[in-house]
Amino acid sequence: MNKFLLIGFFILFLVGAGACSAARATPLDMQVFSMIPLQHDGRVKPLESFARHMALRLTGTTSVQGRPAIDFLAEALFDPTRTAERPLFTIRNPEIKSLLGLPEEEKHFSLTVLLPGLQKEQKTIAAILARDDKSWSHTERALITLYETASDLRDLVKSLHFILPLRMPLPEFVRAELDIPASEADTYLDLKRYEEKISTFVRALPEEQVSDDLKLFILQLSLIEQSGDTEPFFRIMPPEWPLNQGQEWLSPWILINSGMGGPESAAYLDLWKDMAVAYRAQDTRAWQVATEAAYQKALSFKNSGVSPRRLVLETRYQQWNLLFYSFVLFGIATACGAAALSFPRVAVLRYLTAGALIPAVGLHATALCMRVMILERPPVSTLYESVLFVSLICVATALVFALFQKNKSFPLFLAAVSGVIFSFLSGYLAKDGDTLQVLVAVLNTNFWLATHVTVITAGYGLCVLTAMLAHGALLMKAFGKDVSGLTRKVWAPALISLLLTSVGTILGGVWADQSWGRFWGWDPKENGALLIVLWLVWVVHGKISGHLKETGFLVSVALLNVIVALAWFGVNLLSVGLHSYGFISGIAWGLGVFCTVEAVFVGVCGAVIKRKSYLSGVATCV
Amino acid sequence: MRVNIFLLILVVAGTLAVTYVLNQPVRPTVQEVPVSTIQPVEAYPLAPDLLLTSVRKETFHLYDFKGKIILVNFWASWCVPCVIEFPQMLALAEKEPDRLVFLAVSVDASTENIERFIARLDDESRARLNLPNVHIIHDPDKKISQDVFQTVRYPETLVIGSDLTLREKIIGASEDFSSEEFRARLMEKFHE
Amino acid sequence: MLKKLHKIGIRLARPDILFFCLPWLMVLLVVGTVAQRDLGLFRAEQLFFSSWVFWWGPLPLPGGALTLTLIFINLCAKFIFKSTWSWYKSGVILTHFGILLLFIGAIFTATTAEEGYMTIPEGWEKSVIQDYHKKGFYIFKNEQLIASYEISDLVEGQHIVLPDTPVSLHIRNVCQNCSFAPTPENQKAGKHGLAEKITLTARPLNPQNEANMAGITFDVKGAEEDENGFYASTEAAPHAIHISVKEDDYRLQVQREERPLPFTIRLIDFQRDFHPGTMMAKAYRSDIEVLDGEAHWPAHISMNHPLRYKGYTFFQSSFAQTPAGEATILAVVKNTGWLFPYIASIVIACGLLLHLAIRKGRSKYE
Repeated sequence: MNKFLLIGFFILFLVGAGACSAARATPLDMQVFSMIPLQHDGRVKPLESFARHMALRLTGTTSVQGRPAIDFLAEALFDPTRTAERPLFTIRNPEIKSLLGLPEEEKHFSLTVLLPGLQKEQKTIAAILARDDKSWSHTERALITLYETASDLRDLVKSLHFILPLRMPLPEFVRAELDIPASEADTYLDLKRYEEKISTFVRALPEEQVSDDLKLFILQLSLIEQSGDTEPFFRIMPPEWPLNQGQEWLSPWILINSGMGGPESAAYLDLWKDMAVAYRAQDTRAWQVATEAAYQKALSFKNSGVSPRRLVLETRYQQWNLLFYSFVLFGIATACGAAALSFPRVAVLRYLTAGALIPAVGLHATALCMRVMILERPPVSTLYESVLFVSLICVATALVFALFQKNKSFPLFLAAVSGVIFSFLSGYLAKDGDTLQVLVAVLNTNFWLATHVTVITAGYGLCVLTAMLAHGALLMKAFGKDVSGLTRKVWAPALISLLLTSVGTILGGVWADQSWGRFWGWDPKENGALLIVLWLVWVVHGKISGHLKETGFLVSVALLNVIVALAWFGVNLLSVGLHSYGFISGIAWGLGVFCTVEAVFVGVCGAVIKRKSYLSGVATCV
Repeated sequence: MRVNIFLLILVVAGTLAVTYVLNQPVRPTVQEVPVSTIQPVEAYPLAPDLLLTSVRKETFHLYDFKGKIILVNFWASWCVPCVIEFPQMLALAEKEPDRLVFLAVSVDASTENIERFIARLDDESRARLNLPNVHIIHDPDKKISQDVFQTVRYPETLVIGSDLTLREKIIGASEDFSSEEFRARLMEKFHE
Repeated sequence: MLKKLHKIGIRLARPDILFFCLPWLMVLLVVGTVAQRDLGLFRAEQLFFSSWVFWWGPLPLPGGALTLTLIFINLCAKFIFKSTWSWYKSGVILTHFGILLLFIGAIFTATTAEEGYMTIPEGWEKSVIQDYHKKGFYIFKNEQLIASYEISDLVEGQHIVLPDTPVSLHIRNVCQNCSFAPTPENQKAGKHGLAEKITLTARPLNPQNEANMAGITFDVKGAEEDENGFYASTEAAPHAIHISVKEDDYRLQVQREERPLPFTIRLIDFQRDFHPGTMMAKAYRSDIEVLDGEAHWPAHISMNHPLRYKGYTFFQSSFAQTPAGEATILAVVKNTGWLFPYIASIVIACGLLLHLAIRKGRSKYE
């Protein structure tokens, strides 16, 4: 680690002939560039996705300093010095600042400022990393996050350094002496071919003639040579040789160094060099030609397994950001829906709600379909995906429900509200990184993902909808309205929820029986699903047997929301068992707030209803 | 009531019976799973045609050797493993005069280095340099080794099949080229 | 008599039983799930789910098994005595019937299922299954098992006499989960084999039951002079203790309970596929050969694709690096009730769908 940090530190000073004259917003068209494939996180994806992933890690959003992620990526690759000098890292923690020797009054720091401090403290970092991550303090966690993002950015900015112009050019007298043809800007790879000549020449040179320029030039070459041996980070080179058929792509430097290059990758890397030249000159025309050629070349590799259809689809998916627009539309629909509820006579408001909802559902469904096509698997296998799917089920069912109702405002409002809540939730989860992920071995089965997971998440969706109906009914009852009609309408969705969750749970057991040899293992996720089923069974039987009266029934159904939330998200907090998608710290807090709010809401409604019925009882007596 | 008891017993007994039948010692059907998930790829890229000039100032095209396996060895006189490999490849070329061509591409800066290198070879190997299927090619600016084949470390050896497709890259001195196994593998896999 | 039975049946079928049992079951479920964090799945299951009664301080509380049994009796009574078939009720009755089947399957599984695993290095063959949880102290005479004790039953100070010999074993120390430390130089006197090198001390149980390494230490008395002394045995070390009495060889060993398999499994090849460029597993697969008497044939086991043969089912569970090379870990289950959930799920789904359809039709008709 010491060596790598050291080298990374020097590289920043050595690579790149100063920042090129790029304007703030690049005039270059990034469309084709964003579709060029690379392999990252076990999957071939377009640069667009990779750029967004990097931007998320650095800034927590999909843009960097107000520029699109792909612009940032191009700059980091082709003009690394400029990126390294941008104040991309925000550090507020004073302890970290003083540890890294950073000025206290500043908040934003660049990579060049950060690396020396990180290098100095690498023993501290190694000591923290050696400990169990559960024992890390808040500051230590922040330091490690900073260290990891800084290392990633460092790896990124040096990933193409050997095809970029050298910071220290070849001294002119050497060039003239050795008859090396002049070029616009020498790169490491260009000069590598004259390695023997140059070193023989330098060795023969008398001591006093070896200038500082020449010394630095030689040092720079050896530094670049050594710095390449880190983890392959920027895997843009598809496998060319039959030998290398684990379908593993390589970063250009590792490819060349390990001798895995060949005519195809040589030609491809040349095109990357063309891109670099065009980018640094900010030459729109040349950039267009180079990116187009590189994209075509990448697709032409025989063993790469790239599907251009999926590449284009994923780029579009990232750029269109349909889920964001559906979120906005859901928001508009919620506002209109609330207005429609308040002014039932103004029909326009209802139409507006529906008018916003239908395109929102359309966009949402399109996004889901695109995900299915990109990943070639059913749309539910990570927590994020399950939220998206439940959202769709919830909103679509509410819309269908609205079709059969005389009073359409209420179900439309329900649809809009659930849309907003789930979109918000998915937006929060998306901050975790690239949401298009590959799956671990156990989950890697399309049949069970398509049956069990789909059925159970659809069940979650219906449960939420049923619970929201009950919320509405409770609220109305608290305001003294007769809700017996509405209560009857809660019954059918409750039964359908029971159908979906119970069948889904048993299917889960069957899957477990197929993969682990036991039908039921009391695993947290299984228990969570069973809890929902038991709750529904209890509510349904309580209603039939008369143990639960109207209010009791509505309260129990409303609390279904809490049960679903516990089973769905709460399980992740336990982080035991086979099903945990991963610990997400924010969830514990959110879950606590949600449960409290629900409990308060239901409690207040119940109390008000009790009091009303008591008062009316008193009134009849009098 | 009787119906229900009857139904219950019937279905439970039925299920147990089916379980029993399914558990009977019959040979399980062999699942049709391929032995390896990594399929051999048949499509090999075609080698580019190159204009080559030997140290004896003969010029020829790579495609002139169609029908023979072409062994392209990138070497330099200062590279230690190359010194070991070179005689092995010469021996191999002697054994396969009709089916193999050995192109030794030197990346040395000057031809004197090559001559010095040859002078240091043993007599037997030096005699083999005159074989018709052995050519030493000088590539001082690395136009072939680096620009075309992306070779920056030496030695590397390319195996080009008799159909002029790129088949294999042997990195470093990892093979014994004079061994019978290597020769047999070469002829079996790459000669058609 | 029948009338009386009927009366009791009707009583047992009261919905109140379900109405009060279900919330308790839910409480158990939540507590048992949360407890897994500290206790681990195995012990939480033992304590809350498969127990009849458990103690909360001085208070005895009904466990999961008892609660489920009550619900089962309730459902049984309901199905037998109170479910009269009619078109309108058929959906509900069918659903209840499905649940009943699920319960019956669970009873079969609980009473007959055997679970275990086998670790097979590449190229090896095995015909024994090891238990996940049961560990024992085994005594073999000339490779014939003559006595076995469950580790949890052994106590400090207990005497075990080797049958028909003057040799006795005095248990010094029993640990469910041992920690291992090198034996200090000055304490090596009188110790044999493993005990000479390593000292066992008990440490707290690991939540992951598979990670617990049981072991015992004992004194051997009455054997030949050079074999008397202090011994240690643990499942973590495969070395057995040998004591010879006259012509006979006694082998003593702590190990997981082993059960024979009526046929043999040979591992030909184990493969792991990764998502390219990562260390994330994409698939595990074992190419095996089943050897049964004269016959043998190849088979494949991978995640989600088990092998069923002679009532045993083999699942790809995990893998390990052993001194003998890469090894596959197969979970082995023998369960007569495995088919019930499949049938039950179909019956329940049909029942609920039917009920919904009938209700829908009826409400329109009205």
